[in-house]
Amino acid sequence: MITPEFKDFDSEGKILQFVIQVPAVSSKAEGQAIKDIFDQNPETEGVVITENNHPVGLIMRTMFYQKMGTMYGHSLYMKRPVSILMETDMMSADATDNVSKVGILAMSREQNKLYDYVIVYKNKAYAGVISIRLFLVELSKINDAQINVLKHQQKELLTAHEQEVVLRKDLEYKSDAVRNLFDHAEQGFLSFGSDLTVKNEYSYKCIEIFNQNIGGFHYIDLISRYFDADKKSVFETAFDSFFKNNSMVTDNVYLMLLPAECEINGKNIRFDYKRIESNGKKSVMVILSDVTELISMEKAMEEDKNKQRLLIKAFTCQAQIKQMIEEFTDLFSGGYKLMFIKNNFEESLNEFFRAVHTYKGDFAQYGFMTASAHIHHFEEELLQLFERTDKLTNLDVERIMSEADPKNILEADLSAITEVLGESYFGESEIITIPKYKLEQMKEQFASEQIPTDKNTLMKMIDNLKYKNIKIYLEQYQDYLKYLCERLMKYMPTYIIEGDDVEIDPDQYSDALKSLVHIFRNSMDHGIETNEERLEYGKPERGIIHCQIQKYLDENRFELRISDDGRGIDLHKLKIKALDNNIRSADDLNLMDDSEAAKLIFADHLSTKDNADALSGRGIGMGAVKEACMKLGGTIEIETKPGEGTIFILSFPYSV
Amino acid sequence: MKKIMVVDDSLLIRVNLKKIFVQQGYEIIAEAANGQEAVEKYSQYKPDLVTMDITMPVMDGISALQQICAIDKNACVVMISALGQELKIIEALNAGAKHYILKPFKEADVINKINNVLAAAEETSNDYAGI
Repeated sequence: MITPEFKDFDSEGKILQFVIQVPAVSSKAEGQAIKDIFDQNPETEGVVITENNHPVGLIMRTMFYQKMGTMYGHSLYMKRPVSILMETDMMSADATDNVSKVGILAMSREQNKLYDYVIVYKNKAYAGVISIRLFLVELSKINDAQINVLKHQQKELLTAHEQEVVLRKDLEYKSDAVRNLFDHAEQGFLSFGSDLTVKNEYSYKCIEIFNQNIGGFHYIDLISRYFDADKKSVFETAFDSFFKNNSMVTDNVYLMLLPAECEINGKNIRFDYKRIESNGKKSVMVILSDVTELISMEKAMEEDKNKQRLLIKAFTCQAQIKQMIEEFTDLFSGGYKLMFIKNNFEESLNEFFRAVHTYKGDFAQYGFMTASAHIHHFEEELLQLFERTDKLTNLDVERIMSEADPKNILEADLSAITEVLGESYFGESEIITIPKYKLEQMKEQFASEQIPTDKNTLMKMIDNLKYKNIKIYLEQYQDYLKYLCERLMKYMPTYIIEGDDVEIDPDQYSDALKSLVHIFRNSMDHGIETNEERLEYGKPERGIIHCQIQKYLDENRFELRISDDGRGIDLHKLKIKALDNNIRSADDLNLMDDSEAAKLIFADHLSTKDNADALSGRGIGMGAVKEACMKLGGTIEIETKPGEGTIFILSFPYSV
Repeated sequence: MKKIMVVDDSLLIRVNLKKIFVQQGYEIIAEAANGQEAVEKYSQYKPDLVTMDITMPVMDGISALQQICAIDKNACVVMISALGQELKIIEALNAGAKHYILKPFKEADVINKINNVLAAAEETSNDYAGI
């Protein structure tokens, strides 16, 4: 668009700009001369009448023709001097007069003189006239120009305004969008510079996380209370180094070192730190993510995994599990009282404690992780009771037992089983699976001539059908070992089961078989070294746990040897523990040889591990194994060599 | 082939780190079980990168790092550290260490960090060569 040129028009300006030259005639000239001028110059509005170059009158065209048009006008004025025709009452002005003043004066003249020339003098000399008509035309031209300029300016302003509005809207939209994004993101954003003061531009989510406005806070003061006390110095040193140094490589490393997760107002918050730089100034952006759900999901996954283990076990070891639950429920809903009938309260208590501890291990073995955790908790309470009370009585036991409901302990795990395997899992009567070959064997026996006739032999043959190879039970510990390894962060050892096939009565052996859990637990926890130790001692990465079964038919017994290639039992430590727990006197212990000392492991309340955890270490497990063996008329021995390993030798009565 | 020196008093850590580095196609040019050994072997073997345990007998990792950086200001040293040693790591970074690896290792993390540090070092040395 072309901008019309704007001539500086100043209504306060001088009138000189409008002065024009018009024909002048002496006052002595005749009327004819004026008529000639008007005829020849149709544009001319009027003629100035002068005497000695000085204006004395004015004849305007309209007035001249009006007078000529009257009767006799022509003959009256044509041949006579113009002085009788002329208007002597003229308006005059100085060239330096301003336009508006002259304009106002001119317009306030009589109606018939409104368009008369205004005579202009410059330095008192005649300079020309102003034609009101031209003056108005010029004025309106200038006004037009002005209006055009104004119009254009207005248009431009309008466009500019519109553009500005559009831009502003766009900007508003964009910053709103960014803000929106920030505010509605699942993450909180905040930033700070070297003064560690949180800048006011932080996102809405931050308020939600901290439950307050955080602008202007010192960052470390704001967050350090959510972390362990010793982390404060980590924040301080890391930020100090970050702002002092400047290296693209290590800057981010400082930020990586910062504690990255904590709990704020009941939510798990993860912190990500980013280095940002603008105008050569470094600052830190913190991105806060609420990972509460993620963590609970991970927990749920872990629980799912446990549940799977539980279900697999429930499916494959139905009989053992049912028996375990039945016995545990018996014990906890009154059965324990039978244990306390004996005169020796201390001994009864130990027996009870052993039983509880065994159940903790058993439940863990069969994947009843919730139950196992509950029992561990119960054990803790029991131990605390031991410590608090000088002289425990039956009443103390009854009180603590009244609070322990076996239903509550088992509830979660049991419902996990019935949810998948159905309510009938526990209701159904036990089904014995009999290998086909056993039935074939029996049939053959009956088919042959040697049919046993006595009742006892027949009964035994029937009983034999439910007997199972001990190896089947030992194999079940493979999963438990895997579970232990994960917990202890050790490589899974090579688990070997070898030797004779020995058929045992599952009912009769159930206690003993279950108590083996303590041997495996001891081997994995105390025996097999950490991965690091094994490497340093030059041992193979994976340890070995070896079960060897050997029949001694002439002695009517069989032997189960369970050995590991671990570090062996620290007999010195064992003796000290025995002394600490008043199991033996110092003199007794001094006289003991190694094989005797090793047997101390079967004493109650004894463990070489300093801290008890959910797995082992309370030093009662091995006592339970010994007791179970003895109940079957068996024995248990131990052989241990430092650095080479430990063998448990269990011997049980056996005949064909 | 990039040459790496592994410094750690634990044999298991050295074995595990070497396994990872060899798989990645790096050459294990030397290993040391304490800081003093590390300083001596650094001058002798001039490795492209050193992994340095912090807690070691005879001379700890940070002293060794300082001595190595005094010999070669462009030395690439990555600290090996247990959890909870943040302040030690910051001290090491301030003394010239390039990065850190936390024990127990995650193989991907080790590879990622070592590759990054070596790439950054190469860039810097190219810059010098360019000038």
